[in-house]
Amino acid sequence: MQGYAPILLLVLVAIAMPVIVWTLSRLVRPNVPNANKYMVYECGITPTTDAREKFSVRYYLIAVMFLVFDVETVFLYPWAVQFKELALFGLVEMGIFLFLLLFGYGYIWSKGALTWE
Amino acid sequence: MPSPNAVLIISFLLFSTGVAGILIRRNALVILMCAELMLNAANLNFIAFARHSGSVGGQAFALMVMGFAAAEVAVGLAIVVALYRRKATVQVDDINLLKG
Amino acid sequence: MENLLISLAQNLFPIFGLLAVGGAALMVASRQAVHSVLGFLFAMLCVAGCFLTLEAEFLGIAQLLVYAGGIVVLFLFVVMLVELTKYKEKDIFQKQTKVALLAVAGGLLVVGGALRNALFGPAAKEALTLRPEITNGAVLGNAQAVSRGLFADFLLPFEILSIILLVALVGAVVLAKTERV
Repeated sequence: MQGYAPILLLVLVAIAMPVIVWTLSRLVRPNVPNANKYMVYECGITPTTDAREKFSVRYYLIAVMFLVFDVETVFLYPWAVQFKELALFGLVEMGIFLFLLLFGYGYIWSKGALTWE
Repeated sequence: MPSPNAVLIISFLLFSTGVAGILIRRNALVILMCAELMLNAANLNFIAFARHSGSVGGQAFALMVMGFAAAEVAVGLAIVVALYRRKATVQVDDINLLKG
Repeated sequence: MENLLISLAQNLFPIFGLLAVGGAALMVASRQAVHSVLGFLFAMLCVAGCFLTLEAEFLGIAQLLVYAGGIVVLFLFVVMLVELTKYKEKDIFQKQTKVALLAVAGGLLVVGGALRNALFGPAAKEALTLRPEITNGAVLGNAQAVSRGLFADFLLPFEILSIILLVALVGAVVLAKTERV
C-alpha cells in the first residue's frame, strides 16, 4: 500500500492549490461587483436562455448504448490479458458473449436509434 | 493494510445510508442512486472476504455485480423517463395508481 | 510532515471509506438532483479508492470506467431530461421520514449489536492477504487473477450477464424511444 503514497501527496497538493489561490485572490483583489460581472460566462456571448433547459431523449439513448458497450469492454480486458492461457475455450466463450450483444446492436440499428434527426 | 473490521464497518455504514435514502427520499432518481450505493457496499464486502479466504472468485463476482448494476440503471432510468413523459413527475408518491 | 504522510498512507482505507459515506450522505440530503448526482460521483470515486487500497486494482479501474464514466453520465442526462426545477419548492422527504430514520437507526443498533464481535472485536488473526500461489506464482497481475476467477469459476453467470445486458439495451430503447422516427 506504500506505493500509493506519492499519489496521495499529489491529491493533497491538487486540493491545496485552488484553496490557496482562491484565498490569496480574495485577499488581494478589489471588490467592485456589478451585474455584468455576475453574468454567466459563455465564451463572451451574452447568454439568451437559462442553462437548465430540457434535453432531448436522444442523449439518454446514446448514453445507454455507451454504458452497455462500456461494460462489455471492461469484460473484454481480463479475457485479453489471459488470451494465451484461455486458448480456444476462452475464444468461444467470449465469442458467444460478443455475439449476443451484437444482436442488441442490430436491434437498435434497425429501430433507428442510431440516426440523429 | 486495512483490517477486516474496518471494511465491514465502512460497508455497513454505506449500506445503511442507502437504505435510509430509499426510505426517505421522494425523488425516483435519488432512490435509484441509493440502490447503486447498496450494491457498492456489497461489492466492498465481496472483495474483503475474497482476500480473507485467499481466492479471487469474490473479485470476479464483484466485477459481475458491476455489470448487473449497469443493466439495472439502464432499465430503471428508462422507466423514469417513460414515467416522466406520461405523468410529468418523478416523485414516487405521485405515482399511486396501477392503471395510469 | 513525513510522519503525517506515513500515517495517512497507512490509514487510506478508513479515509476513503469515510469520505464515501460523506458523499453518500450529501447525495441523500441535498435538495437539488444535480447535487445528489455529484455526491454520488464522489462516493463512487472514493469506493474506487477503497478498492485500490484493498489491492483489487483492476476492480478499482473498472469502477471508475463503469460508474464515473457511464452510470453518472446517464444520471446527469436524465436529470437534465426531466426538468426538475419546478419541484424545488416541494418537500424533498417522504412523510414517513422520522419513522424511517428511527427504523434505520434501530436496525443499525440491532445488527451492530448482533455482529458486535465481528465488527468491533479483536481483528482476525491472519491479515487480509491473497494466497501465495495466487500472488507469487508467476508474474500475475490483478487483472490476470480476476480473469482466472471469471473464466474458470463463473462461466454461466458471465454468459447470463451478456443476455441481461442485451435485454437492458433493448428494454431501454423500447421504453425511452419516441414514436416519431
